[in-house]
Amino acid sequence: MLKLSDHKQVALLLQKYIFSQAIGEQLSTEDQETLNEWRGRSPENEALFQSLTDRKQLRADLNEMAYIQSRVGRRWDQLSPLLTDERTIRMNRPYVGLSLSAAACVIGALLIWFLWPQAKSLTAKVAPVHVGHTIGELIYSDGRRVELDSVGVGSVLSEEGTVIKKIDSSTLQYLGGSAGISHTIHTPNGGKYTVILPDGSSVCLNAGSTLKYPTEFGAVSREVRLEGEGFFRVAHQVNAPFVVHTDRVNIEDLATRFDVKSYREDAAEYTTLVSGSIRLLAGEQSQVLQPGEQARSMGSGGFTVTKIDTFATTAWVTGRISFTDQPLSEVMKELCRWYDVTVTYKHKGEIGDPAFGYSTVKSTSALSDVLTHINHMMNLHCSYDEAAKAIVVDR
Amino acid sequence: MQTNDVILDEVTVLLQGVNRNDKKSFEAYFDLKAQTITTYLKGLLNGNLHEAEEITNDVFCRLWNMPGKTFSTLESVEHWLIQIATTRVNYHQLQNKKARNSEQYFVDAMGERVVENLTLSQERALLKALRSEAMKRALDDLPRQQNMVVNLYLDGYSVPEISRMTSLNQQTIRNYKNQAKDNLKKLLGDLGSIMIITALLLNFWR
Repeated sequence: MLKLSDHKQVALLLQKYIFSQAIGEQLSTEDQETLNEWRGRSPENEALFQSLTDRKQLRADLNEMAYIQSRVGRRWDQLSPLLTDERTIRMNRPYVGLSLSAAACVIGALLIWFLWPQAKSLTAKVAPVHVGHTIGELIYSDGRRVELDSVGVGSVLSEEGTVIKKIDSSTLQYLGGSAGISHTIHTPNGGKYTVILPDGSSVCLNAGSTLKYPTEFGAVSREVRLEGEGFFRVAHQVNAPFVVHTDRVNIEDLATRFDVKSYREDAAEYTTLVSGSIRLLAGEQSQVLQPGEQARSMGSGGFTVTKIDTFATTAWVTGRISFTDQPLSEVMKELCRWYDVTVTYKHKGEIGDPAFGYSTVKSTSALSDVLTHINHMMNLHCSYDEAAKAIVVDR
Repeated sequence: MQTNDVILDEVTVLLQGVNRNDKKSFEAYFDLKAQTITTYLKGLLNGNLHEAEEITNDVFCRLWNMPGKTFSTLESVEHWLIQIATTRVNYHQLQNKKARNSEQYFVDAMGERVVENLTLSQERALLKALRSEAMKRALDDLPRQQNMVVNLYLDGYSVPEISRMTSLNQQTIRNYKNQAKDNLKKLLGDLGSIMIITALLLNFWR
């Protein structure tokens, strides 16, 4: 008989019970008696036992933890720049944040004071269009389509030995796959979805994107095809490099995090490396990227590599749209994808294609608020035509 | 024995890396523990994942900024993270109650007294997070087919149902289940320590 006062042994016993329960086993009589004795000691012990061992709760908690784990890489990307030898950075940060917030409030108040009549007239024209977050569809190998919004969290989907689970409102996880079976996940404009692939790598798809992948990777290579934009977090496998194919380039890596933006309607493709190392191949051309670099590819014309703020480029992953010196036309393209609308220009010749400067917008913002912000920033008159589902840009 | 030596060595390397602020070791440790701390915090913050992630990052930031770290075990690092995370939540909740005298709040937070004992609800949230971590790590360590079968079994599917989903025959599924059982038993020794950390931290078995 175990001594109940021995914390270590009770902990082990409790853990043993949870493991046994997971595989439908029973504890030995002696262990069970000891556990029962401990449970009977106080109502708190019994309540704790129930909350720790309830199978449904355990299942839900495991799903939640898998979802949280799928976001850990992104959290590290946010934390990493703050970890420097300067020990005071984080300590001062709340004050910096307060100062910035205070400054933003003052500027915002002044803007509203001076521009209120204009803002009021503009916002009155536009409907409260919001970005969709969890829209996506899964396409099976035989072409069947599943609207993922209609699948409950915790539900399991399967096709010929491939088993997929929806672990969160916007995340699918592959539990098992089948050789030769490929799946496709597609996000329409306004959508965003994350898929955890059979090897543990995860891909967050931005609006208007499609990812095709085998449900079971081979032993020596892992290859997927992307159209649109995806943020990749690749699980390390020494002998099986992860390759992303797009229309213009192939991207090879071992264990890293990177963003690929490859929309067919865009003139160029962008690959941004957050951490690790990747190699880009386009025809005979090859380019190795270092963290913090972005490669712009026009196809056969090789690559242009620049240092960029990766945090801004990948802000969409955590629900923000960020623009840094982008031309107005690019900004409008992004908004069209995010809000699932089109754009028309009046007096385009006079407006030209000015650069937008730096701005970041929360994905929860209504389109009307974003347009008001653009109007203030660029001295334009953008409005939303609800009947045509279109942004109208005017001078 | 040799395997144990290798594991021990990796743990030592990780611990030394955390102590001397080696960025790669720190990232590896963050990858290992951030999910547990976040899950624990989410439990304390009524399911607010965003706040839980923010505080998790803040706590790891403070670990990095701690001068002259001399942690002797990874468990003691975890112990410290849990204490600081709990302290942060206490102040976070205090802040929500108070009128927003932000400057005073941050002065408090910087000079805060570290929590020594957890409340009952904090203990429970922590235990649940540690239980999930132990289980998830055990499942992640299983070969994929066994992992899939145990996952589906936990979801409440029967062997015939799992057979239909996976296109595997029922005997194969039973074999996977048995193999998983053996593997989980082997893992129990290592992963039981996760709960032991809690046992040493808390006095929940009254």
